[in-house]
Amino acid sequence: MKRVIALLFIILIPSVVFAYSSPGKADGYVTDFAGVLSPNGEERIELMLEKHERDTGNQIAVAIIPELFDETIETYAIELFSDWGIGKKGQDNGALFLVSVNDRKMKIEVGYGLEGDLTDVESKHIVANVVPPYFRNNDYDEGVRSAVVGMIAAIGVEMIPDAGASSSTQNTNRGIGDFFWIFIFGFIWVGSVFARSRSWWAGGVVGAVIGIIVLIAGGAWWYIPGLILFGLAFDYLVSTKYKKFFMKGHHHSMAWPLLFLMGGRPGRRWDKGGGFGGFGGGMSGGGGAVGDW
Amino acid sequence: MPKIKSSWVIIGIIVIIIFWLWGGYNGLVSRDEAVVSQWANVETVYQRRLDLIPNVVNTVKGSAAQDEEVFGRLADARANYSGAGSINAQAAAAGQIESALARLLVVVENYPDLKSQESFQALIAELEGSENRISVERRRYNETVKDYNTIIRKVPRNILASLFGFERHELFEAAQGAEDAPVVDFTKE
Repeated sequence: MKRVIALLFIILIPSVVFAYSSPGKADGYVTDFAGVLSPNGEERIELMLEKHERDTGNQIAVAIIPELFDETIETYAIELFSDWGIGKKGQDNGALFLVSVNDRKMKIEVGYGLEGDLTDVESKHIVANVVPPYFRNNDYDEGVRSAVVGMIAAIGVEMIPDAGASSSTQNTNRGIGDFFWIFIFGFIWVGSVFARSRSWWAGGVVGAVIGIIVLIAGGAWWYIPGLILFGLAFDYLVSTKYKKFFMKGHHHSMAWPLLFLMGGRPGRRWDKGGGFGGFGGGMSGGGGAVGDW
Repeated sequence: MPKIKSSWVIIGIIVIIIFWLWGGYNGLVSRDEAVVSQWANVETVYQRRLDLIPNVVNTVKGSAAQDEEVFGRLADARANYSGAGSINAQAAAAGQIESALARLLVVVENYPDLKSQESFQALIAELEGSENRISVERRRYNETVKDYNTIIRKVPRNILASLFGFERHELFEAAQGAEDAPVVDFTKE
């Protein structure tokens, strides 16, 4: 038993060495994991940021954590930014104000799309000159508020045209696009073969083969029984209703179930709940500035 | 009858294999392209730093004109970077720039007036931002390369990779100049 536990530790340690671990989901524009903001103060900042998104489409997030542990604040900010996906996908119009209370460090992390508006020099001014006096007096409400005011002022009311919808569909199509026509084409072809063969089990065999290939290519084990059943049902259908399916031009409707099976996983960043709209999958590249107090 | 059935099954399997080859090959191509485009991101942030250097030099020269050696090193490193052809050469030249910049910052320590100038502090903020961007894009480059290198070595795509000549990309190693980066030692001055 002891050896098992020892082995378990060896297996687990590498994942512990990666110092960044998500502090949790954002519960609004302002997420205070350290509990240093007053409810009223947090609400005030929250409303400011909500209005800012309504007016400009930009998403500014505030995260206050108790401690960085072994991570640098630069890396933590980058990881948290992409973890939450602040800003909209493709536009990257987000910014993050990260504060680590026990380390007495803060970082403004700027999304790619806002680097021209919220420059490093402006960020530096905020984290080096504006905020520290408040934080030194333990006035976190006012310190964070002043940072947010500074960031909003720097970004201004410049409106980025909403390209969110087009860029996100483009992104999901990229993976499936190549396979789409292959499947439509292959499906009809295989379907007609099965139908003419008049057997109902060949579909199951082919399903199993596809399942094994999918498994090798990195899929989950349940693709195998799923595809066997699907193949059987499909073969059964086309064998018995061959004419109905292939004479009346219903081919396309048949391709959807398999497409769904292969690629129909919902995007992780879009299913975020919460009172605010949720962030939209933006990225940052290390722009901004670091400060301490 | 059973013979006909099994030949259909074989044809079906062949078709599936062809589709798999198609998708697998395209997957390798897009991962390979991702590495190239991520290196372009690294180049962009390198260029950003390169564009800053003349401003830094001009500001520092005003106060520290006698420390010519530092400016010479910086100019040399800059020229090397511009002339670098391959990724390795670029990485080496970028390492030279890093150590030259670090030396410049050591020199600056001797000029308190300069350090307190607002224009100089703005430049330092820009320089810090550039360095951070560089480390981010470099790390992402390495992640993209690792992803690609792993895929081309794993069964079954390794067969495809060797068939179509997909070769390993090199990881970005810490530059040669990095280990002789100057140590700030005030006791000597």
